[in-house]
Amino acid sequence: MKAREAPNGRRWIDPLLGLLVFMCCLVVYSLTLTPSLSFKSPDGNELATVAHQLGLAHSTGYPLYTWLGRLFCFVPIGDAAHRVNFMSAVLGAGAVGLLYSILLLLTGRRLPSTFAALFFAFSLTFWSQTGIAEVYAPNAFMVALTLLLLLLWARREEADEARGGPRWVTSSLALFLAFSLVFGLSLGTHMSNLGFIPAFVVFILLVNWRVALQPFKLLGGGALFLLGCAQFLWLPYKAATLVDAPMARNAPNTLRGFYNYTLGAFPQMKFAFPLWALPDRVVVYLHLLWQNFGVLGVLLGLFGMWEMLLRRTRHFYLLVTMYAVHLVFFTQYRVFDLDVFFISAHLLFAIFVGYGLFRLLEYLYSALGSLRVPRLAVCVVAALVLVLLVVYQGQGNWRVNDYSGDVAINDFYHGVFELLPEGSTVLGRGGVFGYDMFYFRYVYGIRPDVLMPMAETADRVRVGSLADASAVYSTVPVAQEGQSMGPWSPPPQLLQSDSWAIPVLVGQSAQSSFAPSRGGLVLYEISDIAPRLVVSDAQPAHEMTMRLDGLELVGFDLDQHQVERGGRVHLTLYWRVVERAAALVVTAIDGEHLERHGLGFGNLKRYVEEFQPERDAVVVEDYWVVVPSTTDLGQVALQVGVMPPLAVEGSEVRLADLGMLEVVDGGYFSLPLYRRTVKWG
Amino acid sequence: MTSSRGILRKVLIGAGAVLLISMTALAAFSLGVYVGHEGLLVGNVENFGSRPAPDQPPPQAPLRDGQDLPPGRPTLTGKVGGITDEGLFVRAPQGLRLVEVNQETVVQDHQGRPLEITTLRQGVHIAVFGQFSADGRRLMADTIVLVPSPQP
Repeated sequence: MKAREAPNGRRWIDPLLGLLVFMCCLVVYSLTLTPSLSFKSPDGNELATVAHQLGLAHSTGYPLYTWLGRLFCFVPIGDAAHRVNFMSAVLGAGAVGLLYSILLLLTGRRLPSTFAALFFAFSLTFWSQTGIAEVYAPNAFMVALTLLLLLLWARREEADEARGGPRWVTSSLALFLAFSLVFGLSLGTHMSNLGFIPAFVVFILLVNWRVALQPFKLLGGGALFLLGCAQFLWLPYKAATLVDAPMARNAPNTLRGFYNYTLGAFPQMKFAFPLWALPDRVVVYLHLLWQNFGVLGVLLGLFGMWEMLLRRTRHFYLLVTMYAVHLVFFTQYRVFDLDVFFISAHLLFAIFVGYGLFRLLEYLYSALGSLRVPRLAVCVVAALVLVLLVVYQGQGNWRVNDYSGDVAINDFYHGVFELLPEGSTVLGRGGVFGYDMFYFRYVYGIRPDVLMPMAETADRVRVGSLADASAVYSTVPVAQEGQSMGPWSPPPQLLQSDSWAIPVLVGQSAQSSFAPSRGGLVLYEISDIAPRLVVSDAQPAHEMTMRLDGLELVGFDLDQHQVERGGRVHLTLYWRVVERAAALVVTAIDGEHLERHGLGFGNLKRYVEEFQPERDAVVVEDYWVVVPSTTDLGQVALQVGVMPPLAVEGSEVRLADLGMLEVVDGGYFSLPLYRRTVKWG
Repeated sequence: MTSSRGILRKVLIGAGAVLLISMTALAAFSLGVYVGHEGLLVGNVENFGSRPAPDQPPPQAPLRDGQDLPPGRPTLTGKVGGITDEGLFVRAPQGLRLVEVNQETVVQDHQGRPLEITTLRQGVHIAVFGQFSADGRRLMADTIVLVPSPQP
């Protein structure tokens, strides 16, 4: 059964509707866009920085992504990271628009095409990737474009076949060559697209097996595919810029290194599960499918698969082979952010959803038509139901995917670069995970006087040890003797293992599923001298006695009453331990938690062992806390509380008021700030 | 020509039907295995789906194994079944046990790297080093180690 053609007089509606779908998605994605850096993705900060610098991203290099990201860096909105985030929004919306076009090509019906495209657009996982610097939304765009070009080529071939011979040879050839080039380019947004080759070959042969006998077309297609792949020459060209030690070990400047960096990357993650784990892995995927499409969507998708098998067999083989290859590969892939790797599979499943809906509506029209129910009435009712479904889904996922208030990293580093003394050294995570800090150095050249050893490329490291450095700071705790902190932590030889990590500045707890394993945003001063952590003669400026869970707040110092948005408040808290139970200290503004930390910031146990203070002595916490740049202007209450460390998210915490603060507009979150900051160097 | 196409189409539809039936059967079998092990709880899948693979180092990271872990055998091993203000409920081979944590409880991964206590979530496998209360039902944890999922 062929897709229905729209009446000639109303064909203009189709591209207009596609444009509306694109614009609708772009508006929503822009509203939920992350304003700058975030921990939503482990790689996002690196990808944003590399795109701006035209550098080399982690394996598999992502050259096309890097170049496109650089182009978006010229868009005059926000900072560089915001612009690369915006690329995800634009190309994500583009992918949805292309999905609409693919479905229109397959069904000839606007209603199921629009519904399935929007249903995918506002699904949990795909939407989550349109607000951050990541490869998945741009890759969905490239996959959808590749698929659309192939389907357009097939339609041309089918039309030629129906006429009994080729009429538009050049058109068919052009579409085939365009498909080949775009497919080759798509490897620069995700190399897993290579897995689609069997599906493409099967489909091309099923549509017109004579292509195998057309050397000009084959050679032309192959050449353009290779031209697309030639983007990977970027890897050896930029290999010297790598700062990530594990990546630098496989630097793509030799043939072996090139293979390890691309096709051979992450061998420990591929096919990482034994056969006995297959049911578990399948259930994980089914769960993700259910999260994104719901029961109704899954059933429609399955129905669509069967209908497509019976009515569009060649297209079924194309789509189901693409889908199956991704399922087999990624259900066996071992990563902690597995959900995003299925986005291409979800895109393909959305096509089945749209086709299933198309067929269901056809059956419905047919059945109700025999009962003399007007087709228009059925169409209107169906459209209303489908719109409600999309709105319901979008409403549910908005809260999860709205990153527009995620300013934790920028606020924190704004404070860090203000606080660091002249000529100091700051350590942090290295490699891919260190770009929350490197970004400010690479993109804006902030504080060139501050030594940032982890941001140096392997051949430019200027320090072997920091034992004699005057002022050393770190955004990660110090590794104790014999303790391994992982390959992305500062090398143990840089610091003495008996140093104290004394908290100076505490940032907002990052709102991210990745953040807990990364740890909080804390700037420590590294010192040989122990902090004044437990005292017997506490003299707080404001004395009080308030029992908060297992701790008693005996007083606090707060020496300011005004703070800029995105600025910081200096706070000293005096605690007496009443119950020997675990507790997290919470600071908050008007009930909104700013940060949480363990009492003593991890130093208490060692301090007690070394200095054995009296049992009723007072624990002193002295630090700056960041006030988010999203805080409302005006008077706010600064609060402190205590919560069990394992308390469920959102559980009630009793908070004590420390005083009122007037929040004023600082307006730091703009390019002029960064320029101002550069002057410090 | 037409009949050969018809035969090819039938073969393709037959093969496709076998593929779809196989996929559906595998999905049904997998769901059956899951429900048999875990019951009708979606929460455990969420943890399984999104948790860090604890026995897997990050990309191409040659990590040393276990050298910073506490010596000796853990006092209790099992899966976190629930989290309350009192502590963790751990599903252990011995039954459900309450694991209490305090200021001094250390949480780390199986490489010995320190972790935030908030990384302990329902469904993760842990090994607890500590002391049991007199009735044997409560365990005061000194160290909690996130461990890989057990092999059968």
